Amino acid sequence: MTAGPKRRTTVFPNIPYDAKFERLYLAFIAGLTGLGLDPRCVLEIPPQARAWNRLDRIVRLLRSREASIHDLSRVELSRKPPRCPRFNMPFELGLAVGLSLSSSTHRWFVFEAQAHRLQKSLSDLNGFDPFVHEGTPESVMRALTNAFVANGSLPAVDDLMELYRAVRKVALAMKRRDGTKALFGARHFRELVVASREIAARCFHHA
Amino acid sequence: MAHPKPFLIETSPPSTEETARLLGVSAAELRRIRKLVDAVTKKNGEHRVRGTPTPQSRSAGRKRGLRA
Repeated sequence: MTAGPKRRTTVFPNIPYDAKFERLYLAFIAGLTGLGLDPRCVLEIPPQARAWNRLDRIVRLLRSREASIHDLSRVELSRKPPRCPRFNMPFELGLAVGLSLSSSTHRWFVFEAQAHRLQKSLSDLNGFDPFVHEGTPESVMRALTNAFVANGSLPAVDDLMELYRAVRKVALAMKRRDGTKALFGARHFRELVVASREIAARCFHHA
Repeated sequence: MAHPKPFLIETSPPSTEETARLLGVSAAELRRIRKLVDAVTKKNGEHRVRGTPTPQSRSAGRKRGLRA
């Protein structure tokens, strides 16, 4: 199931896109770009896209990525009524699993904030150990460096944390520039990925 | 339970220009992003050489040492 070394690896991070998750959103962007991966995500799909078109684009996005990361840490009920859990991420994980079973080239990784909770929330995956990030950027970096390895050297967790701190500063500057509190639109996602790649290139002497 | 097999990746990452192209970022946008990165990173001095401990990593190391 492991793909061979490639010049570019694109990854689909299937993670919550909201203020509560912002630190980890930035950590995933910094971690993935720091490891030399190209994150592409559902934010690139316009929210006004028609239902079937949206689903079709999610499948296409997944199919064109070598790997996907599915963060299932958001299992609680929403605050606003009607209170319900969010099923988007488990649903997209199901699409990725189906894709990997049919194509055998797609790899999927499950991330969780708490150890052993997945056994309760999604027992169909018993036997598959999730990467537990404990809700902290440092644990996200640790998990990413366990999920993605290379024959040569890759940035260490400390390096990725340094990159994360720089990306946070860029994110703050973007918020000030645009007078916004949220960075979960397609444009901001693209800008953050490119900024993170640029900082990584300068910090890690990759350029 | 066992962790899934790690994904083997290439150690030479794409350039900023390649990433920008992939995401549909124009040359003008890329210039703006670089300016933003310059502004943020210059405030904090030059980029450190990889492997040189930052104050944060030193502090983390000390904390780890204390816990050990």
